[in-house]
Amino acid sequence: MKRFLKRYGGFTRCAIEERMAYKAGFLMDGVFQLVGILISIFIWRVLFQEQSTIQGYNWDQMILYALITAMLNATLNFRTERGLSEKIIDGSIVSDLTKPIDFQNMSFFRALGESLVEGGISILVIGVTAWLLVDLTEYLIPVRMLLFLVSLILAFLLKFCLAYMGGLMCFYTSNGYGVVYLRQVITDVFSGALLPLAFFPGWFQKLSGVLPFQASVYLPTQIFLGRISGAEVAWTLTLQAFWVVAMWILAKLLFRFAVRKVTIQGG
Amino acid sequence: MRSVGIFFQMMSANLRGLMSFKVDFLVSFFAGLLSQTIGLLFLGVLFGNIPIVGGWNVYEVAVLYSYMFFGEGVLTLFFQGTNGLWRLVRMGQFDQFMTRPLPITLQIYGLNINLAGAGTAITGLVVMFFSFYKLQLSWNLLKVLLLIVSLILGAMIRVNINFGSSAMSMWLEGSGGFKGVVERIYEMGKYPLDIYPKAFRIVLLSLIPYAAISYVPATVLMGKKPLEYFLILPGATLLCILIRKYIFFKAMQNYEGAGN
Repeated sequence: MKRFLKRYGGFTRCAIEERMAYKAGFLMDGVFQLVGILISIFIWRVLFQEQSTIQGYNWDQMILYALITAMLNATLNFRTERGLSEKIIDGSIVSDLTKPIDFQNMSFFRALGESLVEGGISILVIGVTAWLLVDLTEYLIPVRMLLFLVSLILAFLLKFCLAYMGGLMCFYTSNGYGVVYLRQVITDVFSGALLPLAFFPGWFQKLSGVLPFQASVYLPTQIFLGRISGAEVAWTLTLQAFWVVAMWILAKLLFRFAVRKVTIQGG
Repeated sequence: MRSVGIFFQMMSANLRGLMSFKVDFLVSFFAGLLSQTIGLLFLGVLFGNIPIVGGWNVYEVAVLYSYMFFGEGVLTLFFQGTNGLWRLVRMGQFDQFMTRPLPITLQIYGLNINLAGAGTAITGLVVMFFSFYKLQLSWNLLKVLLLIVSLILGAMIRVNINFGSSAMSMWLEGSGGFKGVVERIYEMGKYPLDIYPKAFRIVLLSLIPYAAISYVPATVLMGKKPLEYFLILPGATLLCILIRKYIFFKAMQNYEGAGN
């Protein structure tokens, strides 16, 4: 275990240092997220002028929902995927393949480093916004926060697997954009990142219930908001854990299959 | 005039380069179509739950979306070069522009072509015409003229905002951070201006005039605002071009190169 961490921890540290290198960019990341949050707050504000609850969400809950999804979206974003797909497309993946390390583990520890930086900024920006807009005392219950934290970690692991598999698709096409867009459309819609799943028609909710995506965004928000409690929380966390394991294994298999397709342009 | 000829020559060279990868050519086009799907889904699902938001129905907001899509499409298709300006600086590739006997702006404009833009622009037009049809607006020659003018000026604003923010990034810090923020503000153009606080409204009509691309012409065409309101659009276009020119001038003055 210690050797494992020593071997891969370096990638995390390296990714953190890379992200921190541009100080001004760091500040701009925070502003970037703030603008995104403001837009959704302005939209919800207009909607809640005419009604006090929408699909079972009141103003506080909706704002918190929007903030938590924004935080999750910012924490492991398209940059991770772009990084991977660019490596595959420009061929620099070869130098990683020749190293005596597991490519998936390496990618994960890199993503972890990047996400620690991005997540840090995002928790700061979103935490302050939430504190200003919503009375949080009702939500900050220690036990619930602990369960939420576990759920967040599982969601992060799952998000990584999904983004990683998206990136692997670039073994088949050299158009990174198309793949990233497609994966984003699917995950944003089915995970509840776009809007709470309750806004969608019944058949859609049933469908997203059997897919892994909702475990990466929707389920953690429900735990935080206290919309699921007791035994249901245990069941939710188990479901999340199941998807993490299943997707991690699927990604491994996919890599083994896809890497045979490797075609490097030029040279 | 000569510049225009050269611009099209550069574009056709770019296009030929792109065509040599047939599959990619198609994938990029569909990526463009796909890239705006998330926004449209958000709109559709939201309005499926609440039919009228602040006096606007789904088709009226869709017109705002479509104006933004069109501008974005033109930008991505023909003026991709303005996007990665800061990256060119960081990679040390910017110096080559200065050694060539062509205006630098023209070289930046002609740098690249991205078919995804065609997909985005077409999505915009389809959404626009479908919404107009659903809204049952009455049309006359003047309105058709205003529509065409607004699409052209809107695309010009989009390109100049992008160019300006990119040049600002190259001047300030050599990273895309500032440009990313301006890019994010783009989303604000997709919704009625009335939902924002006053300070935002002023900025969105003057310094970063995304609302002039969408909200201004759309409200005039839909009869929500009087005809004179349309004048904000050419005003904002002019201001935007001047600001961009100033920023780019400053950026060039401060340019030191990235190497050594």
